[in-house]
Amino acid sequence: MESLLLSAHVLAGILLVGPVAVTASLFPRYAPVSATTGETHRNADIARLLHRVTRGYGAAALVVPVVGLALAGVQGRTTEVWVIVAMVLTAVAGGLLALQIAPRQREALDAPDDGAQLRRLGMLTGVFNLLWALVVVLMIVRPGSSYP
Amino acid sequence: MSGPLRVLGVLSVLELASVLVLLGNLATVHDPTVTSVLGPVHGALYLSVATNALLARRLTARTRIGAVLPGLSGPLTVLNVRREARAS
Repeated sequence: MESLLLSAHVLAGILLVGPVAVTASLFPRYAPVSATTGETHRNADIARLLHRVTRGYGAAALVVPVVGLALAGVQGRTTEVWVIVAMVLTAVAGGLLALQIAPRQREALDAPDDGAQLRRLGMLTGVFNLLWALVVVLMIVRPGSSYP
Repeated sequence: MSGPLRVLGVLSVLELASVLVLLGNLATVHDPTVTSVLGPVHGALYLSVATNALLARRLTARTRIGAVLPGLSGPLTVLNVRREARAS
């Protein structure tokens, strides 16, 4: 049971969170801007695809914390500090994706501006990726863990 | 009611339900299995209500502050979400 949950948790983390990190990071580069700056790599169709992948995979990635919580329960480590810190960081990252990044991508597609909203998106996405990096490091280092 | 507000409403109802079951268990049979399963689930629900309220756009300060108060987060957010839905 533990091996199954752990495999599902890690696999879903790699296959579902990984693509979101990539597509959300690429989105600001391809999303249209209203002012013609002579940039050739802007492509609304690519931006729409990146937005769809961000949304779809982001929603599916809910599997990762749900299975992770079940795994922590089975292993009896829901009260260990590194697990709780990881849960808080995950909640912030998930909230950031669902409530800020995805809706702002939608707005950037519907009403392109001079690039200000894309710069903000780039910053939010950077924070999102940093949070996941911290969570992965916590999963490996497990500070304060009672067993190796 | 907008999508994020509906999600926040559902999460806060679940959080309230989980804390009521936990307290009910504490007051009656006090089954340790219920506590060990529902405790972490309640914690996760509290966390998702709090982060949802803090990060969602176009919410009032009252809703945001209410959602992070331990113990009151669930019931206050249930009420605040309804108030915001009426106001919009």
